Amino acid sequence: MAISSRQQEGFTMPELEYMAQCESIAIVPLYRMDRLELVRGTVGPFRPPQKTEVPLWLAVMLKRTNRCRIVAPSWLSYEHLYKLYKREEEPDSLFTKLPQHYLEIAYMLLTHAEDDVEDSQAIRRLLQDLREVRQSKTQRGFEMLNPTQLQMDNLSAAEINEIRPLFRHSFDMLRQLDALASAADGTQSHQLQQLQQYDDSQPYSELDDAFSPSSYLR
Amino acid sequence: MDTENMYEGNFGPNPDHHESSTAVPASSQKTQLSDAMEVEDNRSAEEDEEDEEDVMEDDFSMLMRAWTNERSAPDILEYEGATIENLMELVDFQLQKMKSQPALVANILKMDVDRVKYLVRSYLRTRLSKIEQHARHYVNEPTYSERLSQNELDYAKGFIGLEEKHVRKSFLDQLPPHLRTVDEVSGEGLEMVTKPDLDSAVFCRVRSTVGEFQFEASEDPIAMKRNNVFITRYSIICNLLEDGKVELL
Repeated sequence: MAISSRQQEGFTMPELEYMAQCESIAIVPLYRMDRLELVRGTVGPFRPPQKTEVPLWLAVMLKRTNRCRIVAPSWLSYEHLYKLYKREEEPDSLFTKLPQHYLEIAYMLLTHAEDDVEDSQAIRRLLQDLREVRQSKTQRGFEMLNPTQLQMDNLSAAEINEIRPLFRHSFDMLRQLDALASAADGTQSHQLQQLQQYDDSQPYSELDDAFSPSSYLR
Repeated sequence: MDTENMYEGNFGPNPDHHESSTAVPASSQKTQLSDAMEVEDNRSAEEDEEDEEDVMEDDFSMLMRAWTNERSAPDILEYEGATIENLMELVDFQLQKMKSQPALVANILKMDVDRVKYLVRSYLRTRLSKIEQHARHYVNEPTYSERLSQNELDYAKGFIGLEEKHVRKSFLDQLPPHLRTVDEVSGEGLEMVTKPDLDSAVFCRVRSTVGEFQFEASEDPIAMKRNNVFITRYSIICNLLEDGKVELL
């Protein structure tokens, strides 16, 4: 197997983190350093106390060696998350807008740069609450699942990944049932036509119809 | 993507308002325009749209997208040969450059290069796993065999050969001769060659506004705007995916 069965079902947590690490974030460097030429382009120059944008993985790496301070993104503040939480809690509200990788980014920042996030404890709790409200919403969304499409904007990558197995298999199952149901409808009307065309006394073979509820009722 | 700009819209003056997304039909959105925040949101949405056209995607982002698409799509997609070649050239170049750098910089460059290599590896492995699942189908169908790289095609053929040899040795040769085929198609449309299920469910996000889109002939079209997320059948959106209008999640 070239990839594990878990990977075939969706993404693993480390993979989601990997994606999140490619997002850029502002840092305040603590040491001078020339610009760096990375594969994706140039970052820097690092001139304290000027802010500069770097990919998250680099920010975390520099932070761990104490070479920078990470500027927490504006959405990762108590005030903002609280507002979102309140909105999210309202009945019939839709999902609020959050970055694609908000859970992973928040997790990484709270793990590696807790001192750069204000109210980190409160934010932790709030993120947990927010996540739970959103989870219960996705669960309610599950009721609306149908075999054509379901719109669910602003779900983050981790949230989608979480519901993927359940939603995907249910979706596929609904689709198969739908196909069976329409096939059954088809054979029934087909039968009716046949009955009208031919004499009623003509025996009809049960083998003719692939799946029809009537053949099970007899 | 500049996350700060993108989400600033949420700091509107009216905390009670859901600016959030989804199924708000265009008409009702207009009626809400009196709301100051809505105006701001609309503005930032327009900016997003402009951004998207201006920004040239770099090779890494392209491969990243190809990778996530490949992971979620049920069948095999177009091989990103040129992108990988570019990236590997860059990797070699970076490795050369690294030698003359101080330790810290060399460390950073090494990590950067390792991240790229990881992505390339994972991308190729994903494709190999798909090839192993439906090797015969991909080799037989010209639409699919065109999507494979030469190496992948050789791999697929080798895989088919090995598999056939294995089943022949272990039991097929003991069966009556007329039961020995491995790619028979029966009268009822049952085939021995497995195929990917193109109708399976995928999550997709709209990259550039498609407009009204008919998901199913019997249903009303639905507006597909940038950043909308849908769960739907792969077969419905696979053309949009080829055009790069949607990405899988």
